[in-house]
Amino acid sequence: MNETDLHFFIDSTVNYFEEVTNEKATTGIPYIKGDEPVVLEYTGIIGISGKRKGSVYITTNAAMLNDLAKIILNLEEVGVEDIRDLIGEIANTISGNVRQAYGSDFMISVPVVVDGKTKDIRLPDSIQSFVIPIMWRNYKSFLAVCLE
Amino acid sequence: MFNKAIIGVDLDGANVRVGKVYNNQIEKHFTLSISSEKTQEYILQEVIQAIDKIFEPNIAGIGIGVPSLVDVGQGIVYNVKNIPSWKEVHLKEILEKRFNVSTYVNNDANCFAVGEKYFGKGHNYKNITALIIGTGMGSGIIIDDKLNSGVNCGAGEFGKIPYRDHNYEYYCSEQFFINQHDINSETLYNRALQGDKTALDVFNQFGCYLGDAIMTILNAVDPEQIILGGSIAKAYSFFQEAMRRRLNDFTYKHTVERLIIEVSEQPQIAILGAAALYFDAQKVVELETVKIQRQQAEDALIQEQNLLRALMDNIPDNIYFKDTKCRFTKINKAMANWFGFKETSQMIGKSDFDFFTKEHARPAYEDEQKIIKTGQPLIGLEEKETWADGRETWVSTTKVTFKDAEGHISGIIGISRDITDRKHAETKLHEYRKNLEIAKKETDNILQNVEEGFFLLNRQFEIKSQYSKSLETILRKKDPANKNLIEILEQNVSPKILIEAKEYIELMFKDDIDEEVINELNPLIETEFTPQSADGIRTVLKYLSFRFRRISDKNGKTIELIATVNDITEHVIMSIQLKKTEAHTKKQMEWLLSILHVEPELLKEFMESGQKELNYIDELLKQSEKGSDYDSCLENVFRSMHLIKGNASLLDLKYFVKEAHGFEEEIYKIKNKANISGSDFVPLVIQLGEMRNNFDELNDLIERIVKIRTHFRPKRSYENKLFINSIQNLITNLAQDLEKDIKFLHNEFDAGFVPYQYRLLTKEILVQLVRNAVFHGIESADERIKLNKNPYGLIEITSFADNNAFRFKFRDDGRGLQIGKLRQKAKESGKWSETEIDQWSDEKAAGIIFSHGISTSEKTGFVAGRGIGMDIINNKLAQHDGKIKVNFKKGKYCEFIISLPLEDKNL
Repeated sequence: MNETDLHFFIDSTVNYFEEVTNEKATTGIPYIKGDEPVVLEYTGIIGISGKRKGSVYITTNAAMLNDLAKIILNLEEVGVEDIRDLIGEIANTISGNVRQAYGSDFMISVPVVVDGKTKDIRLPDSIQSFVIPIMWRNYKSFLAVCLE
Repeated sequence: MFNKAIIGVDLDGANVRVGKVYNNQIEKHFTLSISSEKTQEYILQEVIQAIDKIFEPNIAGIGIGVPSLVDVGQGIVYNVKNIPSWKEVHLKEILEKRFNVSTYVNNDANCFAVGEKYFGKGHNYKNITALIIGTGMGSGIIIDDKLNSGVNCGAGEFGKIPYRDHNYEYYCSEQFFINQHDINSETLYNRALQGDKTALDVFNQFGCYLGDAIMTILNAVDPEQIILGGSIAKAYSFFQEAMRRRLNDFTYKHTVERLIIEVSEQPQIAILGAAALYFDAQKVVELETVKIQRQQAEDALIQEQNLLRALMDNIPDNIYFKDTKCRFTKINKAMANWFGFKETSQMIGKSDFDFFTKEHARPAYEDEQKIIKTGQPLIGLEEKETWADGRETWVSTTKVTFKDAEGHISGIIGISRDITDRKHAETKLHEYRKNLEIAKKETDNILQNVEEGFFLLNRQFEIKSQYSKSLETILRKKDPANKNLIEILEQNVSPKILIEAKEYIELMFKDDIDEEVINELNPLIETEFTPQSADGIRTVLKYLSFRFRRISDKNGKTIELIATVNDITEHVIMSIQLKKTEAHTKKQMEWLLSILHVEPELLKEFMESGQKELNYIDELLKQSEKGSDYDSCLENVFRSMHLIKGNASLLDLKYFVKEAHGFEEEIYKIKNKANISGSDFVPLVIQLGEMRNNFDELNDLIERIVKIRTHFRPKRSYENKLFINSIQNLITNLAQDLEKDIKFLHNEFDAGFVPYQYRLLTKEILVQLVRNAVFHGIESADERIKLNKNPYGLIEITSFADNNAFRFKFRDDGRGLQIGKLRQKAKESGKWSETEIDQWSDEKAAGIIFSHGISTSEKTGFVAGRGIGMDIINNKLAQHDGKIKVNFKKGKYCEFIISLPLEDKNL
């Protein structure tokens, strides 16, 4: 895992917000994930295998997804299913971008969505995980990248 | 034959009698008296005149009987009796010229014989002697249906054979009656008819003489039949008895018993006999024809035999004939050779039992007997022959029966051919085929089970039908036979590799390029197998290694390639891993070499403090919120990292010094940015991660070393010595780097006094003070000499202990604090106004060395110049309620007195 890799994941995520909502998202200072849980209400996880192994997830709260869904779907009221689908969609978009850029290095799984606040998202112990806070409107989400 | 019209001519001394003979009888006849005293020509004309009288166009031939010797072949008559002028007449030639028909001439006795044969008593006999007893005695001899005239027409002149005082003619003709009894036979016959005893006696006498003559004939010719003719014959009844009686004396009774003696009863026999010459001649021709035909048949037979012999002698096949008991009756040369004989005769009479083992001979015998019995041939049977000497041969045999004249099977004809070589070849072929099948099975087994993908490739890039089963799995292609390799690759490798692969395979088929050379160029030796998904995205699934070798025909022309393909994914991943591990090991070795000289206790201290600092940094990052905090965050991060750098430097851990320095550089980069954002911290956090890993690794390494060294754990006094040594090392290294000469005095410092909880802190403070002193305080040797000082600088540490605090002093004999420079830096930092700074006392100005961001060093380096160090010490001391005091005299010395309470508030 190097700077370029991490930048790529961050940019992919930030760009997603801008493309979809026309509103900029900002990143907080990244840090190394310790034992403390980094998990919010909805999490979309993708697994990576192949030449390099790891896992990437984005975790956020329902409120943010609600706002996001309203913009994307152009709806006044948004259902739980829409929110669930949306976090999967974000993870999927990130994975799609990664696939296009890295192609031959990664095999990327279909996103898995975890809803409801869980204890933590388990990431491989042997690999360092980086956490990047992502701010959009007044909401804070976390992008966690764990990659060899 | 007899329905031909023939003219018969009987010529005697007085008359010429001519008759047309047709259908066994004389149709017409004419007699002319001849002028026997006249010339040859005259008489000849008379004869011709007589023939003319009855000659017709349909006449087929002329026969003439003449009382003389005759050259039968040329038809010349000599010394005709009673015609003096006819000494030699070419009668045949003359008459054939005149009448233009075949003409035959013979003497009268011969004519009589053939006359009787064809028209008289001799009809049923083949061997006849016709005897004329008249004025003379003559005879004609028929042997095997054919007149035998002798070479000079002189055969049968029995009359000339001497008998008693004369010859037979004298006693057996008219001459006997006239000369002995002075009476002619006619008169005597008439008397005998009337019972005249004398006449009968004379005829008896005659019969006796005739009997002798017949015995001579029997001895000479031995005919079946004797026919008597001539004038005396009519008296046969008077001399028959005497004649028969006489014949009883003949040696061979049987001959006499079988002998038929008859008397001619045909009055015109002379003309008929002459005509019969024609038929006799025809008979000769006929017989001659038969003879020629027979000869021809014999010749043909001989030729056929020769052909058969040639066939038998020259044909390489064995030919043999066997009788019904299966014994050889005839064999050819090849057969004799086959059996090891020189001559074919050596095998005649022998059988298979004489040559072969019973096991072979017995069934062969039974087969042959069956053929003889049923007549069913045996065709093309392949037999194994086991010879008496153990040799084995193979023959292909055909056996058929042959029959005798009566149609009975009289044996077997066999033809056999040596097929031993062929059989051996067949056996070999069979073995070869069997081996081939085994080999094929083995190959199939290999192809079914081998892990590698094997296949043959032709010039059109087509995979041939023989390939290993695993190829399907490796290429992810079901039934790849006859498929194009390039097309398969197209879906699974990058376009660049595809083009290279195609060019490479084409090169492999170019025989003028060395195979080994192009092998080096193989672009598929480690190929990323990246199947393309529907959305055009390629993902590395595995790594394949293709290798190609040429397969050439006998002229050395490459016809195909044999290719192997292996899934080398594991290998590739392992080699990547290995590379990582190698780098890692190298790093660890570097560390190991650099830490070997450092005491584990010190390393442990370094590591613990380092990890603590890194965690602190991560915590700082975690806690930081947006823009406004970035500066202070960076400052705090910097302080921690600088501490790590100092500690690493103290232990001469160059790797960590370098890493920490890199980190500091990164912080500067961020600080210098106009708008700092969260993502700018990415390099920091990445490096932080790396350092953390490195510290973890170092921890492992140290733990291992500690374990080894446990047994050799140094004593407290040794630990104290190490404490001093590490400071000594730092001073030596730094002085060397800055090309200064410094002595370290530590006699008054008792490391044993340093409380355990302050060991690390004390060391950190000393490190910082040493760095400042070496870098800022102590002048270079040249400068010192100019200032009238010792060329070497002095650093001295002293420890004090009382009930409440642990204290120690650090002193150097350098230039002291540079108050002017410190004021200048304070102004540059912008933290205070210039007027404020100008009003500071020297003591106050000196105090700013404990502020962050102040350093009097001209340039930055590992040692100093970052304007940090003293502020860290200050912070740390503050954490423990410790105190620091600075004394200095410009150009003379600078000393720091540090005091730490013995009761640490943090504990």
